[in-house]
Amino acid sequence: MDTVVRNTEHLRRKLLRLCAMVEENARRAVLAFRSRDRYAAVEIIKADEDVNLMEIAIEENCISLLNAASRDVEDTRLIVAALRINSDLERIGDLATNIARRVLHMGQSEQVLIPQELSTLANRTLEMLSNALDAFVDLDTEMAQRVCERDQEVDRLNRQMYDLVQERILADPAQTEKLISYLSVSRYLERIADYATNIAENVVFISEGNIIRHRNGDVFPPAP
Amino acid sequence: MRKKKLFWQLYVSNFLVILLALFAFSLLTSFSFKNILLDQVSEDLIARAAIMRNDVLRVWRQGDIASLRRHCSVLGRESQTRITLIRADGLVLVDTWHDPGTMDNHRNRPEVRPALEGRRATFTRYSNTIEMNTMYAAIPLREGERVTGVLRTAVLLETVEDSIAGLQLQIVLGGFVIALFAGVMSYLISRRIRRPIDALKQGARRFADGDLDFRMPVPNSEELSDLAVVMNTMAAQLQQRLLQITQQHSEQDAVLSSMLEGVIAFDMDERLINVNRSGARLLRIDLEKARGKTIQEVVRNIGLQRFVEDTLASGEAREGYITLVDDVERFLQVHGSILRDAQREPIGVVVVMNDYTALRNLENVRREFVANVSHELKTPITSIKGFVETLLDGAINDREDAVRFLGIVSRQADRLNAIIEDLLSLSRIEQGSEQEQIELTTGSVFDVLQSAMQACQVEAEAKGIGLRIDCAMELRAVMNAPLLEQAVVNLINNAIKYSDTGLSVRISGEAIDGGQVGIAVRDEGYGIEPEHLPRLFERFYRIDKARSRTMGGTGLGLAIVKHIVQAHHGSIDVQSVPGKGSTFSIVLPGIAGHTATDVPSWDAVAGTDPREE
Repeated sequence: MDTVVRNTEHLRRKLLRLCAMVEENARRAVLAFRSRDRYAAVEIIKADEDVNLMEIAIEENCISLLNAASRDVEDTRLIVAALRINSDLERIGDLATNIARRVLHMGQSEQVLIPQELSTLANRTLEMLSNALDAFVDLDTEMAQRVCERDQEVDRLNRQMYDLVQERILADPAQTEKLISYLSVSRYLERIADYATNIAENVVFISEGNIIRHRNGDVFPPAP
Repeated sequence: MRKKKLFWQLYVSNFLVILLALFAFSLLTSFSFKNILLDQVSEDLIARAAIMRNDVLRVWRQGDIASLRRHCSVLGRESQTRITLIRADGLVLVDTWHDPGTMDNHRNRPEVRPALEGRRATFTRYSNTIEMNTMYAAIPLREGERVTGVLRTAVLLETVEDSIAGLQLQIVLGGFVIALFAGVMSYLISRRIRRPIDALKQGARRFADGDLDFRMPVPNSEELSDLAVVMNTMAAQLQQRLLQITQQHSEQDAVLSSMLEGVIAFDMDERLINVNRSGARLLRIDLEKARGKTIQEVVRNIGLQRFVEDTLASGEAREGYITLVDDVERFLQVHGSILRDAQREPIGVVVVMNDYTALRNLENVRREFVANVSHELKTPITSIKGFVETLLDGAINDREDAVRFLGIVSRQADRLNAIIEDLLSLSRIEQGSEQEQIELTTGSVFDVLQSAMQACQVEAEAKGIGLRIDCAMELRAVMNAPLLEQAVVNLINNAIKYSDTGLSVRISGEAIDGGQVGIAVRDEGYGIEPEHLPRLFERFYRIDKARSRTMGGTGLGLAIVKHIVQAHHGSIDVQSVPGKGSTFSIVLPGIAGHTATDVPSWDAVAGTDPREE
């Protein structure tokens, strides 16, 4: 019994490390996108390899814990939630990499600041991610619930970006390529927010055993 | 096992000792008393026999058995003694309690036999005749040397035994009373001993509870008073030590919390022990909530997590660099050392974090500026060099080309000159404002605006742009007139550059709230995308490089404006709608806030600045 407790603690720590890695990558990706920092973008893409390795290690850890003999319900719940959070984090890592790849494709010399809507979207997404992970650290279901509620705002901002890009392309077709990049990044951020919501839902699952997925409609609303 | 109370230990043992002594004493007393009593009885019997001997002998000699019997029964009755007269052959002649005829031969009775041999003897035994415990004493009766008979006296021991029993009862009763008394006494004594011990116990408990100001009362007994004094001394020393530790602790705390560097400590299990104020701010930790939590929970930064892990694993001091990614990136230099206890065993790790972000940013600004300046200077020089080389290669011989090329060279040289001029004035303004050496005096805003407008008149007319001033003649502000004019000229020039032919530029000056003065330059030109606005006043920041250069900008105009406004302790702001035009507004502080000073004038400063030479 004691070793199971120690092992779940060990698993939790590993998962928290992955949280740190992924959150950092997401933040770095947004910063790199803002400052068009190609060097940072390359670093982020490299760092994602660590994220992937960690994800596999955690998954194996979860499976071996699920095979272990004695567990109580709460441990099982933690392990199941860990599996889910693990894959959510890995996907967020991938999306951060995608943003970094976008930075590589965008011109470096261009000194352009991103539109206000995208900037807000990025801030909201990073806040949601940060709050979701905080909720996981403290198993704070209230905070987790709040994260879930904020997803709609990010969805709305993403739709606004779509309208804005459309408008600007029509106004100045020469900027199409840049604007399309904005739109992609907006999409990536919106999906990061979705995964943050998933993590928050799993926090509720760990502490209360309630599955709150699919209550507020589809987790992934159709792309605009 | 529950421990016995000292009180009960004392009391019970005390009491038991008393009881035992009492018991032994009464046993001894009653035993020896009985002996003494029996001895007395036997002596008494012998004495009676001796007294009666001659009398009995005298009657016996008369030879009349009947009168002998009478005599004896009188003697027996008066002395309450059984008297038996036994002939030498054992035949009982007289017995005062029985008929001698029914009695058997007494020759072999244990008291009789020694008497027949001439000795006195006593014996206690159960009498078959009277069926009771009886004490006998026998003495020989002699005729000359010959023993002719035995005189035996006897008493029932019943009375003796009764009195012994009475005595024993008295002893037991007395013992009981004494025991009761002893019980009470030993209870009182035990309590007396216990009371100061209890006081000591309570005092010790107060010490244990941390009440080190308390001093124990010193009891009377030597041992306990020594103990109390020792404990009081101990408490005083503890208090002293504690005070010292608290003081050291608060000193350390003060040092730690006033440190600019962040300090954070984790135990061997990577759980947070402590973090100072700077560290908590840097890593966004709430110490009260985070103490005892793991680093993975507390610090969501993989760099620091790895650093702590590596330091713990290596067991020695390390140095490294980590980046905190928040809304901005923070660059930290980190030193990790192993924490050790008194036995030099590792108990954790302490990390000192030095934030060098500001330094790094400054370095970046400098690097960027140098790169920009180099780039801006290189462009015209490359051009000049190219055309001069072309001329040297023979184009000088083609007069038409030569004139055209020289024209380009001249224009590029002008551009170079303009950039250098701008850089110089920028650095002059910067230095002047840093050293508070820019003279500010109260002057007419209208005059400044008007001369600025006049300076731009030629270019405006060339582009067909109308300039209009909208300012009260009497409006005055604290300013350095030449500098303020330069700022307004730069703004008007920009407005002309980024407006299409035929539009107008409005220059306004007005008094606003709090005695401040607002100056605005408004155009109806191309406007600026909002994302450019925050960086607009940076040196060499260009919205569109190609367009800006063809218009002859140096990239420093707005930077100079900003610095001039800052030298006036004012602020500058820009509002713009793409396609509709932009408004640059300067706000100068009110007159009340400033008085003309006697610092050297701007021109004097510029002329004497050693760095300029």
